Amino acid sequence: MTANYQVQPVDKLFRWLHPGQFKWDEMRPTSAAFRDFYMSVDIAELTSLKASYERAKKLKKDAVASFKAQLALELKQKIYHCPTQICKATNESVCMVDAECRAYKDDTSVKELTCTNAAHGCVVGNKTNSVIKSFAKTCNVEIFPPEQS
Amino acid sequence: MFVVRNSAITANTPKLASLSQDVAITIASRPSFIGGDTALSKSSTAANNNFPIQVYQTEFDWITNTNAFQRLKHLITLKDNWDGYGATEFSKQHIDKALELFTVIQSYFNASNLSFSHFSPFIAPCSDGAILFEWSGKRFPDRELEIFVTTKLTDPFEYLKSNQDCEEEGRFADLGCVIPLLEWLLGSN
Repeated sequence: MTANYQVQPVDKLFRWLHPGQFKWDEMRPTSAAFRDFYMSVDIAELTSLKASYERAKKLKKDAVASFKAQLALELKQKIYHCPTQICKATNESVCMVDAECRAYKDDTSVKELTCTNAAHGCVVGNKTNSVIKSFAKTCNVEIFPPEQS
Repeated sequence: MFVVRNSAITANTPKLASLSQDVAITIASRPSFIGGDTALSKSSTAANNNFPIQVYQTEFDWITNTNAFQRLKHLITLKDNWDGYGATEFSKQHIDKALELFTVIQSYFNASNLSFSHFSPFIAPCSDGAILFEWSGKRFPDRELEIFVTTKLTDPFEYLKSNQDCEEEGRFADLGCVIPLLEWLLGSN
């Protein structure tokens, strides 16, 4: 496994949006998209918007928002680079970065891993409702969800 | 008509619906489910494959359908990993709790002779499993209110009210506690 990337305050982070978390008539995401103690993101420095969007579409997510790591740090969050790795035996995601993460496994319990997203990062920390609203208000929408026919 | 998300049906009808899509099915003998449109589990759907069925795509339109009641009812169609980040599906018990809150809110506005179509909250599923009721944005430029129906057993409702000057967060268990929040939203306290 390659050394993990040290996220810098200037780094841009991509967050996929489910269509239900997006208020279309006002073209903005809601706080709902950011309410997660372990908030997954893609680190822009390690991927591209197009590549991130392609991964999102495979999971039926069709919009992408972004924010600067600086914002997360100001909101008392920690940011880890933790590539998405799938255990071949169980087909489950495995986190080897944060022992508190629900996907955490130590080295001895997993053997064969497949990396499915090398740019994956995690914004970790208690997110009060004020914090998630700050993410929603401050983020930029990189790719809007297409209007359904 | 009821809605299923199922790969067993779609696997046999590839031209009609692709894998993991919501499909509406119509059958001669409809099973009875509480609450109208109801998502079936994969095992339930497999059992119904014995019926002659018509399959066509009717995926719920989360983008343009802003009807709060319909959005709450269709939360049941979101299955594990619906957000692509490992979010778990919504339980019927959890959605029922949100529907109870919705009923109290609707009753309040109706009793106040206010148009519920204007004051209806925007409903959104949260990545941590909570359900968001939002009064924000262009409709409410001065005062914004967010209520979250969480999965916690104690004090399952959380709120954030904010205006230009300040924010206030809190939580409650009694549905009646939503009334002062709505009064604040309307500027009456």
